[in-house]
Amino acid sequence: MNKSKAAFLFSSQVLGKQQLYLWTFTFKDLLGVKETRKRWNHLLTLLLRTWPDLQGLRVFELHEEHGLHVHLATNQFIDVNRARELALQSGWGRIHVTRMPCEHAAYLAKYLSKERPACLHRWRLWAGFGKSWEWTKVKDIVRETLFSRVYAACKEWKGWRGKSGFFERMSLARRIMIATIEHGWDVGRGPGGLPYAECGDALPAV
Amino acid sequence: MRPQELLAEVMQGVLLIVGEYRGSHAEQAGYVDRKFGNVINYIRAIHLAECSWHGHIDRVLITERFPEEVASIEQAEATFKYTRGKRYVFYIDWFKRERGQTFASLNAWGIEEIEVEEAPAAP
Repeated sequence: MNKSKAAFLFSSQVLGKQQLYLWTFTFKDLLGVKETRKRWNHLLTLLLRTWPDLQGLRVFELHEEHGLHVHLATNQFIDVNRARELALQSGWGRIHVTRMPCEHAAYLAKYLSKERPACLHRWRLWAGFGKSWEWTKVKDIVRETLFSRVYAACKEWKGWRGKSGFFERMSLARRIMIATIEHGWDVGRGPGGLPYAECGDALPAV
Repeated sequence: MRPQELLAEVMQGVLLIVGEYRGSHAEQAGYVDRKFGNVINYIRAIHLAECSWHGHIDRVLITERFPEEVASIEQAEATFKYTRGKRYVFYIDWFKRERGQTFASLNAWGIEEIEVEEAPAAP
């Protein structure tokens, strides 16, 4: 799991307090990902114009054979025939909808577990939409792990600022994390419980 | 597990890592939503194994995610019945090599000790 998936799961818990519907929008023909995104933006605009109270979560899935398509979890039933008209208007093909129990809202998260294809680099694989509800964003997620605690201690020790030397920093923190596990040190401390700054050569070098 | 059994599994294509156990760390690896205060919590362990990689000794970080029944770090630590310096088989789901470090994820088969076969003593 990563932070993005965790944020999606939290958002689906919020949305899942209500009745949910799972929608899938696909194309008859195989389209490029940029074209698909463009058409999705068009369709979402039409949907929100027609149903201003519509709330939901959108997930992009790049299917191995059928290209990019969109899954939606929405909180209200919308007329399928009308939605189909809007889908046709914005250049979409087939749509499918099914009722979804609230506890299955996280089902869509499975698409976020797949390895991200290179063509979707820097894409938002999921997003919330609609007024009057707030979904959890990645920046709202806090995670504390052995690595993050070691990294924080290294940051304090070295006075790291900005993003320079990112990979060297990661490498140093990882080596110290390995030493922490191997020697049973307190997390964020070196041998004998000393702060890293006082450990000298006892710490692994980059 | 005896070396012959291990060899049979390797020949079957079972995905595994053989390495010398170097230590473990259990932690609560959860996510907290600052906005609504929701939490996703689970307990996991990171095992450190030393093995050979392209002719040199390397350390592999093997992550084990515990089932829901293991609800505390203490419970997780109680499962660490491994001896540092002994060789074990780590059954894994996947592994990856990222910037000079090997990571793997332990599967449900877990970790098994390899029995060392001692040669009979000379008369």
